[in-house]
Amino acid sequence: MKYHFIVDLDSPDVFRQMQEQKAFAGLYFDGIDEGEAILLTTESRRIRELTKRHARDAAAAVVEDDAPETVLNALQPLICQEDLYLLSGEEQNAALAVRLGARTGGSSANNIHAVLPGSGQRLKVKRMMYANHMEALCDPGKPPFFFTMAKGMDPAELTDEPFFIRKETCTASAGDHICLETCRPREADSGLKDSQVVVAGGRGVGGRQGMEILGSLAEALGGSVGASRPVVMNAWAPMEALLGVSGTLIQPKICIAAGVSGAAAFGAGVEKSGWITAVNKDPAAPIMKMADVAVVEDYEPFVKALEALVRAEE
Amino acid sequence: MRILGCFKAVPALDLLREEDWVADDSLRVDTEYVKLEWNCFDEGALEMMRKLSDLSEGLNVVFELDALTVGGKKADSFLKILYALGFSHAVRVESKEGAYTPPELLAELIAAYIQKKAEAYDVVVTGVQSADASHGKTPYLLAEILRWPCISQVTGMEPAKGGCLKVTSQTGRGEKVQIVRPPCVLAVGNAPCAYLRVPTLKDKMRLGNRPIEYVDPGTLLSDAGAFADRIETLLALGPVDRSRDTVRIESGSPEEKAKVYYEQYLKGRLLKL
Amino acid sequence: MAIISREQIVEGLVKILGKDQVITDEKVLKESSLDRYRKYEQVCEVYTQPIPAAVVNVMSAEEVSEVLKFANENEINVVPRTGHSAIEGGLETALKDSVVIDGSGMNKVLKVDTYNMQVTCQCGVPLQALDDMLREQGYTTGHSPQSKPLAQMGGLVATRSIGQFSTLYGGIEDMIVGLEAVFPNGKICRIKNIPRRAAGPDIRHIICGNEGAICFITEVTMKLFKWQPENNRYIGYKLDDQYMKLGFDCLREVMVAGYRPSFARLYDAADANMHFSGWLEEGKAILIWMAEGPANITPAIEAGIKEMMSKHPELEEVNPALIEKWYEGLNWGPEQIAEEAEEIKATQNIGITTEVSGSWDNIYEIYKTSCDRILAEVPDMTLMGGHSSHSYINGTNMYFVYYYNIVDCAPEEEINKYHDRINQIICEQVIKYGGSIVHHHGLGKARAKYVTQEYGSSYYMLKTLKQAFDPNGIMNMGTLIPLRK
Repeated sequence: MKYHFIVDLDSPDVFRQMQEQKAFAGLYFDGIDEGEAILLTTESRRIRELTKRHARDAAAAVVEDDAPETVLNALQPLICQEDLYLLSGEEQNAALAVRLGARTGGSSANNIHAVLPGSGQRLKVKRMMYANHMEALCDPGKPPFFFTMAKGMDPAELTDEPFFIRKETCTASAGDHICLETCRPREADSGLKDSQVVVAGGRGVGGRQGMEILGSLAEALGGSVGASRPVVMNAWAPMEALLGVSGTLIQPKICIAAGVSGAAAFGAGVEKSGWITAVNKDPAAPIMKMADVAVVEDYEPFVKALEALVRAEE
Repeated sequence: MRILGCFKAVPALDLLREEDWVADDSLRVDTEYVKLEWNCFDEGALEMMRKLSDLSEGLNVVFELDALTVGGKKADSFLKILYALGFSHAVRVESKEGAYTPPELLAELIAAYIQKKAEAYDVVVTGVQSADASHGKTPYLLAEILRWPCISQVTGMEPAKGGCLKVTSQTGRGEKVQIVRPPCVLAVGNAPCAYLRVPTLKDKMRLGNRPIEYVDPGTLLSDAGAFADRIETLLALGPVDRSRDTVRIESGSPEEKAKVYYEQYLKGRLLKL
Repeated sequence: MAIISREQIVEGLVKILGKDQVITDEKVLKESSLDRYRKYEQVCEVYTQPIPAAVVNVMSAEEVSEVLKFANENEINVVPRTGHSAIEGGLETALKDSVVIDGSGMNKVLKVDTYNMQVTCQCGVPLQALDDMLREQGYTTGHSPQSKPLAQMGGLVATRSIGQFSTLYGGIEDMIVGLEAVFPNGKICRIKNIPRRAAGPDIRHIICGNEGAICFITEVTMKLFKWQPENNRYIGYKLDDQYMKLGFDCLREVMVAGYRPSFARLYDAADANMHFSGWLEEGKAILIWMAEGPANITPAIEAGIKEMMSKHPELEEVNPALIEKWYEGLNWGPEQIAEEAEEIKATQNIGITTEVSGSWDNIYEIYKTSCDRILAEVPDMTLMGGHSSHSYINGTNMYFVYYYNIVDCAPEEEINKYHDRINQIICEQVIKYGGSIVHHHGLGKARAKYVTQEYGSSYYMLKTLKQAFDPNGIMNMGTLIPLRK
């Protein structure tokens, strides 16, 4: 069995995806041979412009458009029946992994955070179930395997050399069902993912105004603002601020969670933080147990006082 | 345009007590005592279907909305609500109450139902994943079996000219708006404000008691199906402990707490950044 | 109405309390002009009530006294407030240039006396914090209303609140010992802590239930009870919705037989479905009891209730573990309110409650005829049901729960088109059959218009009390006694 990476070169996060794939392979693919990276792009120039790599060899797949059906057609001929294919945790990759599994007679699993050897050609994977309350160990089925990684892997260094491109394929569009398409590029990254300091707000902040108070502290600390699901659902913060399973999984050095109760989905979003502070009126709130420091206090006066101290220091 | 909405009623996991997060002998969590609710992505999908129908008023297109679930008798109350909201036809593929159906089988059952139906569906709409099993597979497997294109992470649907739909979806690169020609599978993701509207009791009485079509899964699938040898097997299931050695700051005014926190804990760490 | 200007009111208050304790922020003032009775207006941020001149944070009985004297001299309407969880309009500022006196800053527990089994605290102590603290020491106030995560001691006494365990511990009127309150002329009165006395009428009941229309409560002493949840026993039965009458009779049977479970509840099918749909079939009502107390008593209560219920073939026992788990998940706090607001905005569907009481011989008629009339007369209803949750030897309460879609209706019209209309039907049916239109949320302003029908000839006593203690009419006008139009 060999492992391969599937990389979306057109993604604005391509290096981070490669870093996470490399880190994952380093942790879990011991004893599996390195295969190649399959580089997907709509613009072949990107292949030559690429200066870093996370595997020695690569196959380049140039696609006429990025409709999943086109991408699947491009990938399918490149699949080896015994092998394992790893995709990064971008949401739309789940569809690719599952559909590739279905097409090639193989198996898929999404958001996995570990791979262990099974018997013979089998593998075991770990993934979360029950809205992140439970961790499952599963036998995903038979090869070829298509896995998307859980978000939030510690990135590994890439090699500062270009891939050795073994072959290049071109695939015509299979997006006949799309009559017209416009794309509004993703809004400038909130920097949440790379922030060293994140101030996160939950339902307990009570409104947009509360999130502004947290924003002001984050600014004083040179960090970013994140939010729990109810906060973005209530439009107290933009959707990009969402932390947790369906949003950004962060790993800052310092995370201050204010007015957050600590639902499991949120916990997963911040648990990789180096050091967590929880500020909550309720000493029994679940977030308090997830924190290194738990401040039992209403977030508002505490955060305002803290901001004053931080700004005074400047 | 005929649209089939596929949904799942799931246990309200937020209501489970901390100590009840344990796996039983069959590697499932006992969620029997909490009420069922719409799976959040499916709820968004169903409301989107209703809105589509609202938006079609005045346009030269009729949206016929059907709904399907695979589940036990408890799911009937959800189907009745959809009837009361103006859905044309409600289907329950019968399974044992609370029983687990793997996504591979779910997709095959839905696909078989669609293929057996005399009048063809144009679009299937469903959520990207369910809260309990969290596979994120069903819509994509369904698309593969039907050999239909599929758009994932859908956040909006509107009527468009020429028998098409205007579909908004989130991708890694940004928000895509596409005019799509059916047939297709639409997998609904993080749509903001995804609450389903509530039918009145009068509508429930008027429309809610129309007969639900019950389907024996045996009549849909005669063999083990194409995925029989590659369905995920659960080997172990355990709760996740996220606790840390917590230091508590509890006494004093907010200002005093902030001072202790800043001086003793935060300041040094900020300097190290 | 005030004889000085809005600016002069603020100036005068600042002179008494200092700038920091007088809030004139517009958003705060608007939020302080109403309570959850006008939930839809609140969600839509449409404010139809006069916006108060200021909200003042008081920190002592003396400050309250000074503020009240100032208000009394200048005929300024004041609205006493602590946890802001009222739901019958009691906190609406019905007159122009009112002042909201907020006691939530007076939040110290003054004395926990486990020998005399009583606890003394200031009016702004949150009940949740108090009871959590007591439970850690093995005690409880026994008071556990659903508003517990929000409500504070002053408001709980002022509204004559009641908790989920009332069948054992009683309402707050049975739990209070001594009180301190400030009257409109600035007089601070203390009623001492004693187990009982027969020295004239029980004047605590001038304070308890005054709804801020007579005085401002600054301090409360409550009884303590032992907290021994390990002995709790849960008992539950399901029955077809058509047997609701039998359900009420079962509640009665248990009370009449002399048992004192801590809670005793009957949910009709519509209401039960919102709580128990994980395991309760549609169309089923449910009866629930919990026995609380010493280890040798609770099994006896459980056995006694089960023996009585076994004689009713219409009942089917349910697994007590299911009841226990449901009970532990009962809560209603700021999170739920924030989420509910968003749901209302998205769906235009809103849920409201109205609680009344009746004797055993009329409660079923009150329940049945109210539900039937509402369904026939009010449009756009999406749910109509309710439960009985507080039983007595001579009767029980009915907690109506109803949801409706708000259709073609401006936020400011919602109250007239739906909420008040439903309230009116319930009040009419209650008065017709001889119950009380208010069981535990207070008359507020929403139901004050029915006060003369509710009181009959005894209205004279209520009116006289109000006139005697508040001759200038400054205390929460429109509450208890309706405003003259």
